[in-house]
Amino acid sequence: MTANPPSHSQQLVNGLWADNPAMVKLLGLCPLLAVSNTASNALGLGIATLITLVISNTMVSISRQYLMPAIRIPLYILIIASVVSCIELITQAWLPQLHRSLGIFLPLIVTNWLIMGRAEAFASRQNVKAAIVDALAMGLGFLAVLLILGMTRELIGTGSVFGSTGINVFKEDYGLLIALMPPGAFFILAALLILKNRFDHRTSNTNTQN
Amino acid sequence: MPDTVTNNSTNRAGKLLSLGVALAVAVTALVYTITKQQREISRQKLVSNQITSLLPTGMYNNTPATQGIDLNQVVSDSVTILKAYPVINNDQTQGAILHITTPKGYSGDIELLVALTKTNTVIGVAIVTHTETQGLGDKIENNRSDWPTKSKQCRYQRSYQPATNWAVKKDGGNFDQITGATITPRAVVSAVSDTINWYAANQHLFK
Repeated sequence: MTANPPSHSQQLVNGLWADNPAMVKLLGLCPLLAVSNTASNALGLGIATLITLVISNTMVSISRQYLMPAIRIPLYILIIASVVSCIELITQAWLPQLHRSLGIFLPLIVTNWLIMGRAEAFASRQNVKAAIVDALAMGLGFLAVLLILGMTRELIGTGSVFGSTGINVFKEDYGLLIALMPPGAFFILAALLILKNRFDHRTSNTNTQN
Repeated sequence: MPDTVTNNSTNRAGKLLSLGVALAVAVTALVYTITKQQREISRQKLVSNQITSLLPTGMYNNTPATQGIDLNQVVSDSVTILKAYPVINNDQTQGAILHITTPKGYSGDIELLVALTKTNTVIGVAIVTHTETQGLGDKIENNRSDWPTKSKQCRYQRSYQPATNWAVKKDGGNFDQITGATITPRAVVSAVSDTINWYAANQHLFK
């Protein structure tokens, strides 16, 4: 059951915009909302997710002819869980600070439906190259939204981006604490969704008028 | 026969799954072994950074982090002292930092550093590792909430008195609890309390 692969540029557009995992499919919301309180956390988790997605999509695509329907889900979980375990061990060894600040959300990448979803919906029926491009596109789409969310929340909450040694815009005393807390994540994600939908709506209106 | 067909495909699925498990375990074990040394180094670095941050400058002129003594002493069912780092100023013992572990956490062991002076006063506590619930129990970490600072300002600074007030308020003690996480602060407070007891009785070991 091999469907015709979409063109690579189309895949990129899908991942980053049209079919963005975080803004259109609303996948992986738990880590997206929980770890986006600072820009560096968001970047760290985004990259970890991207790497997991690339490796798991590749593995699933390579082994797709052996994936019998009855055992495909356990095998996906097995692949994803081992990749995430390895990434966790490596971060613990070489990036201990990041490991500490991501805490439980690093191992919880396993449960991010984005990764499972791409394995099942895409990688298991496409060739390796298409699967890798898909993982890169979807992973970058997720990373971008996570980073925008993280930067916005940190900016509103603390007045700086990438920590107090990063870009300082205003004094921390004037920050809105709610932006750093879980409700802030929902508000800002909602704002992003409104902006994106408005933009899409306008573009489609212009297209029909032409 | 339908039975044979089912058996065959079940067998095949079983074999494939076992192969998958074997491969996954092998890869993870390999990465575990490769990273083992580096993980230990990173951990040591973290501990030594925390040691420096716990001690006020001017209190010591030795390098406590490099002078750790392995103890592995079981003090009570809630505390095991793993290591002791002596704090020395001009050959005078000023206190010690004890690296302890407690199994009383909500999910797994909590390792902490307790900085004590020669008058058995706690001057700081830092969490080394824990697996407490994200957003609830993890507030015991220094950079995640004001619980450690509040606890420090209110209580840790006091000289130790062997009284019942070394407990969270819910248990009649003096320490704030953390909403949504009862077990975690209870574990930390009782571990620190047992540690002071042990240190008060065994200070001569560090002289």
